[in-house]
Amino acid sequence: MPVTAPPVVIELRGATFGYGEKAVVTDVDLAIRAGEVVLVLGPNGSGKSTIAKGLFGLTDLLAGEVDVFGQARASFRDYPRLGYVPQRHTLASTVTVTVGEVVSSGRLSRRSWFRLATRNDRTHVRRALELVGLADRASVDVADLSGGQQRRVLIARALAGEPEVLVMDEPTAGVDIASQHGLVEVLARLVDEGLTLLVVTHELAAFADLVSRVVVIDGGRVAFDGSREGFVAAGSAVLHDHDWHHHIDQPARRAPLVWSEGTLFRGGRRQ
Amino acid sequence: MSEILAIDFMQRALLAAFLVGLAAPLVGVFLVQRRLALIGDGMGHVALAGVAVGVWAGQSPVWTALIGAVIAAVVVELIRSSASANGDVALAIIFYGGIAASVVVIAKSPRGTPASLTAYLFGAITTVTPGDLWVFGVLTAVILAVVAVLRWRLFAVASDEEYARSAGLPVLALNLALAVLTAVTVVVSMRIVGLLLISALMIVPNAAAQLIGRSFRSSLAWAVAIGLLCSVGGVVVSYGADTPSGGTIVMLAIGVFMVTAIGSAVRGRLARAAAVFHEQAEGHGHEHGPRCGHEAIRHGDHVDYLHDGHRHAPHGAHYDEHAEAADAGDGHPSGARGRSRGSR
Repeated sequence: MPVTAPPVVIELRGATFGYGEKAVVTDVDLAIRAGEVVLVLGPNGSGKSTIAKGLFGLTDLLAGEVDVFGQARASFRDYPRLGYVPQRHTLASTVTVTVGEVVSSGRLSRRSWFRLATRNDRTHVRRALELVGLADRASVDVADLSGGQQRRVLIARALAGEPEVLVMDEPTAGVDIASQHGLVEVLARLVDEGLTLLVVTHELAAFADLVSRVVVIDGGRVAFDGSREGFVAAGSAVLHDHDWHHHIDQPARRAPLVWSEGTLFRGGRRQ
Repeated sequence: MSEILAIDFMQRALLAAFLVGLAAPLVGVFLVQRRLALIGDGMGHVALAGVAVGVWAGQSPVWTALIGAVIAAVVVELIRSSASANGDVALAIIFYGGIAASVVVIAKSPRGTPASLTAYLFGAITTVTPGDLWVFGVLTAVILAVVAVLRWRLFAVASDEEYARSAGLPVLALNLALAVLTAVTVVVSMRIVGLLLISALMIVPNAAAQLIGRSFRSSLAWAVAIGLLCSVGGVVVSYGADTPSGGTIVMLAIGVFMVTAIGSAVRGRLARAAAVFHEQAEGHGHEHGPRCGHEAIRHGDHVDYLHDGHRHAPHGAHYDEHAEAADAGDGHPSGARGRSRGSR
């Protein structure tokens, strides 16, 4: 029996994203299939977050096309299917808010305007909290949690909406190594349950065991797209071979990216 | 008290105070969350221009104030959401234009002088007419209904606008709804609290409630309770002490806030003192050891394990919370901030 490939859930064709008139990433071609764990890797300022935001209409699509679950991004209305964990360092707020209340707000996209939270809503909130290991913290003020725990609250908020694809922007930034392990354990569990994962990060090391595909964005373009094995085997060679001429007007970016020991380097400096 | 209730204008004043005490904190909590504590003040300025037009035209100033405030709210939110570099200046022009226009219009009005604006600015208990009370009642009912339906969406937008957008919430529409709610609350307050002071009744009860409540829900309930206490209590005090009601209500609210803040500080010190004695790590199902994956840090005579930003030290069958990671590596707790304990 022929094996059919899982469906494409996110597809970018010649996509250019930016703010107003200013393009940040240009001409991105990318098709992500259900069940993939894709790491979008790149140094700070490479434009990788701009792509993630573009999937949600948070950055402007200046050229090309973006399809989400086979539908043009602009007409996509099935919001709960696509979960988002924005890059935030803290959940601290001027008002008191519990972990449970933050996570419950992740159900709003599934609730109609006049309907109160149902038992089903509460079940999914509780399940999301269990998945990230914070079930016993539901009634705790989010401000009392550590940075790593607050990240997990943001993940739980996205999970409460029962997404099929989860897009995470720098989930490990500012999180200590032990908490990163905890985070990756949580994500591994979700991937086992069939979640498609797109993680934007500048650190490969933490996700090395989880990831199935690596996309490197540099200078606003896709510099590499392939399997983890291909990325590791090709290593810096792939990156060296990339056409860097378009960086010539940006001296600080002229040196090629080098991948080594699970980290991206440029000119001997960690990116 | 029965003497007060026997007076017609006091009955109306107390009812109006009840309505504004109920509505103001419910709307104000979202303004606090969005760090827009002063926006109500600006809308009060524009509402005053509406009042002046009403006095000049011989119409009920409540309606003209409502029209002025709602228009201002929509324009202000559109300017804010455009994130224009000159947005701040545009807001200043609108707000001060409102005050300036009101003084000029009232001076040219056949039935008023600038002095007649004082009651609208600072509140006066004798001014609530039966007609006003009906309007305030309907407007408060609208505020309650809208907040009841939208509260968690307003909460989501106020706490993380980017996320709200990604989840498909109509962010601009919700922000406009909050702006209009603020404008309507300003108008409900114009007789009792006053257009220059209403912002305080939206913000201060919430500031106090944040120190008492342990969740968004319970803080909001506390804010409404404090708002009602201050507005109704302020009107009673205002009658007895012969003081302007708006100033009295706001001073009462600030008094409640200060008492709460002092109480909260004392409670915090006591809790810290108890924690210094012994703080246990919660819900710890994992056993730390040399290969557990958590960074080990020597801490005086024992080893702490860095776990999710906390330092856990083995103590019998459980783990204690030790000093913050700030002093990691130096081997002694001199850099600890009161959470370090020598319980072993």
